[in-house]
Amino acid sequence: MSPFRLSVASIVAAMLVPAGAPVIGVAADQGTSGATSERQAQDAAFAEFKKEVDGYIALRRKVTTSVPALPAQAPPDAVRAHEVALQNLIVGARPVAKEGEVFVSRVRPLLRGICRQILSGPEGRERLAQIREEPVQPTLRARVNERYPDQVPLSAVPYPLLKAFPRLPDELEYRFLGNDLVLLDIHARLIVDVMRDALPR
Amino acid sequence: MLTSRLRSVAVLMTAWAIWLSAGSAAGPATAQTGAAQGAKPAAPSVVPLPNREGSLKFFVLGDFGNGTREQRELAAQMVALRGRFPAELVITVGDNIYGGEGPNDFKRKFEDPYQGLLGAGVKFHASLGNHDSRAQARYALFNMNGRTFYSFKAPKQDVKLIAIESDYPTPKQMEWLQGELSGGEDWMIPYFHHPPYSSGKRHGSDRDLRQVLEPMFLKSNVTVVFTGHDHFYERTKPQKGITYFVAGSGGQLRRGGINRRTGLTAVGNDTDRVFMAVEVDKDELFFNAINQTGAIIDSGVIERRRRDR
Repeated sequence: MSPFRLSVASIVAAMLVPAGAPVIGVAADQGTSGATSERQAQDAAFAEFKKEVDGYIALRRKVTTSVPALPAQAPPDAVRAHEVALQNLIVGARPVAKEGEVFVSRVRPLLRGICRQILSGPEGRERLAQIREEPVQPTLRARVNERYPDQVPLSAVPYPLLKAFPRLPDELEYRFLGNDLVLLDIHARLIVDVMRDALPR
Repeated sequence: MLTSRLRSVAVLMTAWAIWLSAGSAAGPATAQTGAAQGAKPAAPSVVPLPNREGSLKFFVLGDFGNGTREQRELAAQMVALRGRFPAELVITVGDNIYGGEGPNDFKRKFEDPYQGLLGAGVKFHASLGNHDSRAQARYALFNMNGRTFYSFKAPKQDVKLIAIESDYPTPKQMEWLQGELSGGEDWMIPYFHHPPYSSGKRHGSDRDLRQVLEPMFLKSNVTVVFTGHDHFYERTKPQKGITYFVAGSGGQLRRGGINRRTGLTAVGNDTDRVFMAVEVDKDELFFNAINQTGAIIDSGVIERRRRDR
């Protein structure tokens, strides 16, 4: 199965409707050709995002073959050393990676729309509080090709967001740092890309 | 037909009476606490629960790894109790290590306090909380074998324990869980960090998780769920036949953290550090919640639900 399984209706609705509006009902009413072309544009945006993710994974797998797999059980210092070895190889393979290379420009408004839709209203505020549970110093900013800061616990990501976001391969996951959405390489603890101001203020 | 039977008050009163009459026999506990220095070894000299031969006996611990004296005190009670109640394993409901996670942190916040259990061969099976790094999944003494969600069959009785990663509940994980819960075991016991039901003023019920997990639990024969995150002890009244425990004061504690007006609480304690001793024997699950002085603050027995036909 493709790692991407999108809830197109919810994404379309997230883009088209005000925060808090019922998603499915609105999406169901978009029977026009305009809505169809909108959907096609969004499908294309997610396909582009998937292509960039696949490209990262292919590169990652290629350059990290020299790193022995970590055993299922390993002491903390061995895990850390493994992370650093992966980081060095991946960063070395994409030394000039910049923000927006994976979170491509066409997909960013879609992801923001999902966040806005799911994180608004009373339920949304609870989710937002959960994401922001651990205070992050304002001076601490996620940067591409840097290690996710050790002093900041990984943010929780509520189920409705994970359900609405495009699925990722096992090596990657979504996290938030401050208001930014981070694409994190799990085993390297490396920030692959950042999307600023993903969370509603 | 869902059945649930709680004899909490009677058992509680009996346990208290026995404990009080026995006093706080502390002698042997001192030697058993090992590296848990400074802990009060005032464990009850009675054996709680039925403590039947052939039953599955385990502990539940959550929100504990802060390296404080209070954590060590509670750990000492676990070690002391284990001398009379031979628990074979410990399941953790997350926030296993707070703050730094260097080798010395694992020693100070985990290996030293629980040395008396680890040395006796008691296996910990961790789940991850929001303060835990993914690297913990590879830490040998947490027995996660690199997995952030997993299940295992208990060494005794027909029990499957299911560790869920509630901090990052992907659809893929939920599909996996669906499969796990379709097994035929008598007891399916999920444990994880974020509570679907909690009276916590700080966190409270995680409604998103409830929405996705509860239907799966109900469709299966889940009868009890162990969670943490809120830093107190709470046993909910059965919710649609399922009892939810919050065991989030294994080291941390939020005094006054329970909102007494939620209507959820059967028994709550937000003044003590608490761990749980649990025993499964055929269709019954017995539990004690035990504080840092060894006093039993809640106990009861729950009969397992049958799978809906």
